[in-house]
Formats: sequence, structure tokens, C-alpha cells
Amino acid sequence: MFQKKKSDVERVKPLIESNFKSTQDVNFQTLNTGKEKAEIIYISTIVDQSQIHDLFYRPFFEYANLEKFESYVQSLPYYKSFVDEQETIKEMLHGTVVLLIQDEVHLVGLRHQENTAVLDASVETTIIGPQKALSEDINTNINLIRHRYHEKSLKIENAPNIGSKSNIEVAVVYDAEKVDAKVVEEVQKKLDKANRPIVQSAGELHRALTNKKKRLFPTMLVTERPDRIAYNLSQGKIIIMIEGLPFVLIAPTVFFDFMSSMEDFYQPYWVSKFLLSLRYLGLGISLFLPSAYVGVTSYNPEVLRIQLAFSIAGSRVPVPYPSYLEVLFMLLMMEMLTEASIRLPKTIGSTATTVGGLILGQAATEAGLVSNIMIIIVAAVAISNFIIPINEMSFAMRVMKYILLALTTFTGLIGLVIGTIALIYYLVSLDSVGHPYLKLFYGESKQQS
Amino acid sequence: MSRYFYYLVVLYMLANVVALVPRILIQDRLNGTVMALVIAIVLTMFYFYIFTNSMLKFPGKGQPEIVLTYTPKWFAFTYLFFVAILYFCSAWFILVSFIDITNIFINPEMPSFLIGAVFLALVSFGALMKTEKTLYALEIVLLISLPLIIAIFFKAYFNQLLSWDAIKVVFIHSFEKPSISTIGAASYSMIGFYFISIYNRVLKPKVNKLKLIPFLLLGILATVNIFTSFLIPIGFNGVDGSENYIYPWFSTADSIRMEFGFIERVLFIFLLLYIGISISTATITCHVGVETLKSILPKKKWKGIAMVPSMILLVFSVFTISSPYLFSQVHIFDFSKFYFSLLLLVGAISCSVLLYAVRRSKSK
Amino acid sequence: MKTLFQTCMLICTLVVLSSCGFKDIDKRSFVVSMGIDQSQENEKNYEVILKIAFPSSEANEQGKNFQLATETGRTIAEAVSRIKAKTSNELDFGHMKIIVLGEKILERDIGQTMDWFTRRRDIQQIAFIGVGKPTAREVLAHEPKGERLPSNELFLFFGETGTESPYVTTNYLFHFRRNLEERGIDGYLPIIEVKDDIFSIMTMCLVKKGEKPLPLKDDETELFNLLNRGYDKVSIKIQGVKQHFILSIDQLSSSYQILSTDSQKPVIKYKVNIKGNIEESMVEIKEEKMDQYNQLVEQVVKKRTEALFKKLQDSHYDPLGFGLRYRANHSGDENVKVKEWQNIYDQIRFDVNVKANITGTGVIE
Repeated sequence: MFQKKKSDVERVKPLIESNFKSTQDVNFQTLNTGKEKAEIIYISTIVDQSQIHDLFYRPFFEYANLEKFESYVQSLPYYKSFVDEQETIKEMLHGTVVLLIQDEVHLVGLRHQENTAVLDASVETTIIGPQKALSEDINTNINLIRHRYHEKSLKIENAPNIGSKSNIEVAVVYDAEKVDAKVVEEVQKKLDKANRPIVQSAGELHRALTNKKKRLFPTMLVTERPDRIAYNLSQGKIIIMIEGLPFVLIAPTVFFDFMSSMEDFYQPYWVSKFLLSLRYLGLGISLFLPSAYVGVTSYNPEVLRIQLAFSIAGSRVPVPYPSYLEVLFMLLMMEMLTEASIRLPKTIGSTATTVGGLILGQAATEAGLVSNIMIIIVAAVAISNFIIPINEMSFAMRVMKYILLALTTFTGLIGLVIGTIALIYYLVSLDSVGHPYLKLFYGESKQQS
Repeated sequence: MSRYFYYLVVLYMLANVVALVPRILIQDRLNGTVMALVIAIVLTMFYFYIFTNSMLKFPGKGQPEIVLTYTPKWFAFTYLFFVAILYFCSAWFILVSFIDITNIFINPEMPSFLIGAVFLALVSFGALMKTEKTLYALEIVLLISLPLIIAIFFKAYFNQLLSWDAIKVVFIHSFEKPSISTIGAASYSMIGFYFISIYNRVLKPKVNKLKLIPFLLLGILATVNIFTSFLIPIGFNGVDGSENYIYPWFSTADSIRMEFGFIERVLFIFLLLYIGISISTATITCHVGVETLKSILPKKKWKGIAMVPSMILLVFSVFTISSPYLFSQVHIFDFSKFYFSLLLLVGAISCSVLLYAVRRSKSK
Repeated sequence: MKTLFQTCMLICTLVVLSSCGFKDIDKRSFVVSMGIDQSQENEKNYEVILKIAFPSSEANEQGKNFQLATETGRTIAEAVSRIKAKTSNELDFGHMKIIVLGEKILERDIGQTMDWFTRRRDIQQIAFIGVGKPTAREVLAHEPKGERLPSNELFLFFGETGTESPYVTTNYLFHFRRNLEERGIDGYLPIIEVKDDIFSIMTMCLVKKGEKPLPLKDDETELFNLLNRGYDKVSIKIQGVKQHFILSIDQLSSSYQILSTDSQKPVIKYKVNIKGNIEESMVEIKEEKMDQYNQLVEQVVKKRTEALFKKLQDSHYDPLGFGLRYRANHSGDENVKVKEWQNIYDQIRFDVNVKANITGTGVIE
């Protein structure tokens, strides 16, 4: 055994040297009291430098005895035992200090993350309810979760690092008592299989984790809210955390999760039910209104009341294009406004949308490009689309409405209904980590099983 | 019993409106249709009871597995093939009629093959889903459309212009000898329970026997439903006037007006809702048909995907899409009469086969 | 490359298929009402008048934007197809809510005229139908002031959103057709007239296949509507020897029984229940005389009802469906029953029984 350890240092040291020699922020230092010698290697930029002095330099000279120092290092809280040289290199890249004492390699994690600040919730905001989201540091995030979920069965497992280049740390968090063991296994299997050179965001990881390459609807939920995480843990779901990202992935999810906001739990019962129904109404409007307009005006105007039919017909008189082009034109303009306002700096953003929205709408009707009613429809669609609380779902629905629009343009109201049923069928046929994605009365059936 | 089972039964109660059933009933309205309805209900509820209870004796198993295990091979093959064809016929009726209805009422200018192609693409996609997923989809479609359809039924019943005298005239002729096809047509509205032959695989009910109260409630529901689908068109179009309508219910829906509704003409709400109901019915029926037929066909695979179900559906789709060009309305109507009469016989055969299987399984 | 090809194929197929049925709302000419008259040149021909509304971007002037298209033809379909050739936009009957039949048309075979309306899929079964006096053309050509849409005034007359008057008889297309087809009940239609530049819908006429229509007077129309549809919130005039007051009806229900045994003369027992209060009085109303007032109401209504029934019976018209009720209560072959009824109806006696209940004398005593 001694023999083997001896070779550790010999194998590790040249490897580290060859790998990091030319890098400026890597420290190779020899601690020398004259009698005793030890080597310390670390990447100074990602290691907590203030602690290095207290933890290693001072004790080394105080003990002045390698045996004692070694056992001291081994009893440090961040101590990790040596596995092999490749692992060591990886650990170094994640902020580990490597100590070569005599013939042994010791690793002490002293990671220092610059941005551990807890951010304000900006994507999923609530009026009453926690205002802070996650931070960009995985440990801080686990800390936040632990503080919200005090349960001894809470398990945090390190998954293999993701991305051959980015090599990002991933942790899987779940409540061992609530979770379905099969799902954990499935998630871990998928994490093992996931291979992409660079993974930087939850969405990317989500992509890497799903079998289907082309996907429209999110089957895992991305969230930034610790309260949502805690709630989902209690529901037996699995949280996948990623280093350097203030978002986590939640799996398995059902369609309804994407329509719920944490606010629902904080409001009185009827208020939250009202808000929920408002959301589904918004979903309906943003999905169906443009295609219903085309279907009704161009195929079956007899559906409408005669008074409404005439006001639509009247407002369409100056428009030279068929209704679907009118709808498409206005919808695309609206999408551009939305995209522009995301990319623009916050200060300009609101000006751009106001100017764009108001002037474009006004001018387009006056120029006879679109009808007045169309402007109302587009505005209603745009606003109601933002009612969907989870961003990924609202993006998916944004795309979906064009598919419905195309179907309706070619086959009329039949297309709209067929498209809706197709959407239901498609959502039902999806799986989220082995669980059905869309199913009514989900909670009820879970209690039974 | 799982709630999904009730959905399956209710689905066919709604779907019969599309599948020429009211037309057959109304044609015979002065020749003892009321009697036919009563006979059909009693007979079908009898089949219902035996078939469902026998299936429940084999938890988690479908009819093909049961029949293949307990009966001789030649019989199992013929029987399953025959039953699968009947399922496809049922889906075919609904689709062909609804393609026609769409063509008449929604968009007369669209070629029927396009409508058919759109419908069948969706039905095929749905029928190829996993068995339990078809149920989830069915639940959603039903939950959206059922309240509205029931509201329309109520609206019809409470309409001032509904002629109750005309309905009474029909009841005067209750005790006359009904024809077989009328009984068959009435029984069609209740055949949803046959689907347990495949769905038994996933339903996993905790009971192994149908409880009496839900069963009786289903019976009452079936009675109310079949009488509604028969009498409302007569009440609206008159005893003498309702004869000539090809799709009596859709003409009736056009006679109902929603003075203060968002859409004034009930016809369109009814049509759009029934697209959903027809598609769901066709999907479920095709799924059951495919699953049944699959069990007796060789399992061919191509690139790891089972090809047989897709091939079956492809053949069915091509046949259905081309049917409006191959058969006339009259042919389809006559064939449906024959089919509905056949249903009565098939019910008896199916029940006996299952009873035989139950006995064999016990003796083993 | 493969995806690109697939997308191209998809777009191509869709473009090929796209031309079916797509027609924008502003490229359609909506027929809001339709009139049918007898052609002036040839008595056998129909003259079809379509009131076609044009959409205009000015919401206030919609009412005047219409065109009356007229054509004659041997059949209605022929005339309509001629009109089609004369309009630039596609004719759309989906919003046709008013059908006006000219008075002379009613004297022809009504079944033949109605055939076109029931066969067309795009004609609303809930369209209102009425008789134009003297011609349908005159009714359609009338342009009331301040109309938001062409023919909107008539929609309001017949629809429940607008006025509710017992003089206005509302009849839907499907209901009229049903009554025509049904043996044992006859159809009825409101008569629309234009008097002094406003619509006047006060009377109605009874229609039966193969017979001349029977017009009813305005008070008969009122009573018929009261009995037939149970209108409430209606005032009727009660005139006695001394008293003379207006009764505002809150509730009116009627029911009847047909009693026909072989031994006696057949009789229709007709019960009417009236609940209401006094709206206007010419003489002083006294609380203690309530019973007298009740009796007076009973007498007046009974007399009027019996007179109306007598008139119907004498002219062999049966718009309330006594015959259908007879069919509903007697077993036997339908054809035989219908024949039987025709004999019975000629000699039947009406026994009208009115029960009045005046609940109040209005806001004042």
C-alpha cells in the first residue's frame, strides 16, 4: 500500500506541471522549514486565498512536523481523499488545493466563488412571497434550499460533471422519502449519458437530457425560486442544480406545473382559483384568437353575430390582403417588438415598445394594411401570452399559435379544432422522465398509487 | 371501477348522434321504436354485465390474450380478426359520416379527401399512442365538450318550440313490432363497454365485479341518452317533418337559438364540439381495433419500430378517405343498418366466448 | 438538405390545397333578408328580392349601405343564380335572418316555395319568416331611420332582445316548416306592413298547404299569441257595462283536453289561468269589488276566446295543434287518425273555462 501511494505523487506531479506550467494563475509552492518539505499547488483565482494562509502556511510552520501536519490536513473539513490523477486535475479546476506531503497527495477543497450573492427574483416574480431567487453558486443554492426544507431525508447527490469542455458540477437533490426511486435512477442514467461539449444553462442541460432532439414543449421545469424548489421537493420531484447558474431544473413535471405560479399558494383560495382560470383563459386567447379570426372571417362568417360580422367586414374593407397575411404581418411585428424589448438595454426597452406598438398600430390601420379589429386581436394575444407564468411554456405557446394559424388558413375552422385536438394528443403523448406529461387529476391518481 | 371506463361508455352514447343512429330510429318512429329502444337497452345492459364482469376476472389482461390462451388457435384467430374488423367498421361509420357532415355544414367547398386526410392523420397518430395515453386524451376532450353538449341538450329540452305533442305521438306507437335494425341501432349507443377488451390491460380496477349501483346508473343514463337522441329531433322537426333529414341532430341544432350567447347559432358550437367527439371516438375505436388485430399478426419490425400497427392504420386511412368516392350515401346507410343488426348477434357470441374462457380458467 | 426538401414539399402541398373555400369576409355579400313575390309578367314565376348589405368602414352609416337585387325565375334557385351573376362578390346566405313572402305567393302551393329554404345548408333554420303586405318588395325596400344595419329593425321586432309585444307574432323558419308538414297543426305567419314610413306588425295570417291563407284581425292576433306562447307582461282591455279597465297580465297559462267518446259530441275543454293587476282604469276601482272584476275578466276573455276558436273551426284552420294533440292521445294508424280528426273538428264544441286572479290594483289603490 505504501508502494502505491508513493507512486501517486510521482504520477500526479509531472502531470500537473505539464498541464499548468504555462498558466499564470497556478501556484506551485514549496513549504520548507528547512527540515520538512511539502508542496502546495492551486489555481489562485478560484481558491479562497484568504483562507490558504490560515489553513496551511501558519499550521505548517507551527507544527513543524510533517506527521502532525498531515493528520491536521486530513481532519480539515474540506478534505477529499485522492482518487487518481485525472480526477485531481478536475478537482483543481474546481478550486481544490493539492498538497504533496512526503509521498502522499492530499486534496482540500477551498473553492472561492466570486458571485455568491443571492439575486432578486426577476423571471418569476410574486407580489407577496419570497423576493429572493437563487445565486450563481451551487453551494449557496444548496444552503438556500436546506434553509427552506428542513428534512432529514433530503438527499444531495453529486452527479458526474456535465460537458466535456465546460465540466460543470451538477447536483441532484431530492427527498428520499417522497421521491419515486425509478425516477431518480432514470435521471441519473440520463445525466450519465448526456454529452455535450459545453453546458451553461438549465435549458441546455434539459436539451441534453431529453431523448428527442427536436422538442417544442419543455418537459422539465426551469425555475429560479427557492420556494418553488422546496414545494416541488415535498411533492417528490427531483431538482437538478447546475454550478454557476441561478436556475435549477425540476423533473418530472406535468403540463399544469407550467401554468402555476407560486403566488397561487400565497393568495386566498378563490383569488388563486380566479388567477388560475385567468391564466388558462389567457392561454386560450393567445393560442386560438389569431387562427379563430382567420377561420371565422375567411371560411365561416355565419358563426358570428351579424352585427359583429359587419363591423369586422367594415374594418376589413380597406385591407388589400387576405386575412391570414394580415394576421401574420401583425403577429410578426408583435414578436419583433417583444424580442427587441428583451435584447435592448432596460432603459431604452420601454421607449422602443411604446413607440413601436403605438405608432405601428396606428399607422398600419390608417395606411389600410390591417384592420382595426386586427390591432385589438394582436394586442390581446400579446398581453395574454405573458400571463403564462413559466417563460419556457409561454415561448412554446408562442410558436404553437403559428402552427394552428397555418392549419386554420388551409382548412378553416375544422383546422382549428383538429389542431387543438392534435395539440392535446401531442402533449398527452409526451413523457417527462417516464411520467405522463399531460393527464387530468394528476394529484388524485398519485395518491392512489 | 376506474373513471376511465365510464368515459368509454359515455363516449359512444354521444357518438351515436353522428353515426346515422338517429336517422334509423326516426325512420321507424311510427313502428315501435320506443319498444325497440327498451329491448335494446335491456339486451345491451345484459351483454354489458356479462362481458364486463368476465373481463374483470382477468385483471390486467386484454381480450386477445384471454382468447388466445383459452380457446383453440383457429377459433381465436377467426374470432379476433372478425372482432377487429367490426371495430374498424364502427370507426369507419363515424368518420365517413362526419366527413360528410363537415362537407355539408362547415365547408362545402373543401374536397372531402382533404378533410378525410386531416381527420385520419390525427386519428392514426392518436391510435398509435400508448393505451393509457389514449385515455388521458379522451378525458381531456370529454371534459371540455361534455358540459357544453349537455347544456345544448338541456337547451333543447326547455325550448318553448319543442313540440311535446309530436313526441307523444311517437309514444302512442310504442307497442308495435320493431325491426331488428332499429334495435341494433339503439344498442349501438351503448357499445362503449366492449372497449374494456383492450383497456382492461391498463384500467386496473380494484374490484373484480361491476357494482350494481353504478351499473344501474349507467343504464338510466343510457336510457335518457338514447331517448334524447331519438326524441329531440322529432320534437323540433315534427312527427311528419323529421323523416327526410339525413343528419337529424345537426338540422335540429340549427333550430336552437342562443339569444344571449357569444355565438348565436347553436349549430356551430355543436359541430365544433362534435368534431372533437368524433375524432376521440374514432381514435379509441381504431386503437382497440389495432391492438386486437396486432395480436394475431406477425410482429414485423423495421429499424426497431413495430410496423404492423402503422400498416393497419395506413390501409384503414386509405380506405376511409376513398370511401366517399366509392360508396353512395344510400350504400352506407344500408350497410350501417346491416352492421347494427349484426352487433346484436356479435354481442351474444362475445359474451359466450368470454364465459367459456372464464370457465376454462377456473378449471385449470 | 433533407429537411429543406421536406419543408418545400410541405409548403407546395399546402399551397396547392389552399384554394378551397377561403374567401374573406369583405369579399362576401351578405344577404340579410330575402323577399319572394309573384312575378308581374308571368303569374307562374317567382320574383326574388335579396337585400344585400355592403360592409362599410363607417359604422354609423351601415344601415343605408344595401342593394336590392331582384330577378325573376321559374324557381327560386333559378332567380338566385341570376342574381349571383349580377353581383361582384360571393353571395352569402349565412346571415339571412328575415324571409318575407309576398301576399300573393301564399295563395300558391306553399310547400313548393318552402322547399328551397329547407334544402339549402347555409340558410339558418332560425331565420324569422313573415308575410309582406302588399308585397315583399315594399317591406324590404323600406329604410327606417337610424338603422344600424340593413334590416336590423326587423331583427329587433322579432328577436327577444328588442320589443316584446303580443301583436308581433314571431315564427322561425324551422317552426313554420314543421307546422306545414305536420298533420294536425297549421302554420301561421306575421303580416308585415309599412304604414306611414314605419313598420307595422299587428296582424297575422294562417297558412296551410293547398288552401287559401286566412288573415286574422289584430285583436285576434293578440289573443292567439297570448294563448299560443303564454306571453306575459301584456295588457288587455276589459270592457264591461260599467267598468272599463286595462288588465296587465303577469302570468297566463292555458291547457286543454280533448274529450271525444262515441256517445257524446266531442268537446275541447280549454282552461285559461290569468294572473295580473290593473294598469289603467276609466272608473274608480274599489278593493271590495275585486270578485266582480275577476268575473268580468273571465267573461270577456271567454267570449273572445270562443269567438276566435269558432272562426278557426269554421275555416278549418288549426294553428294551436288540437289535431296533433288528438293524434298524441289516440292509438291507431296515423292516416286513419288524421281523417277521423277532420270529421271531429268540424263538429267539436269548445268549452272555455277562464280563471282570473287580479292580485293588485297597481301602485295606487
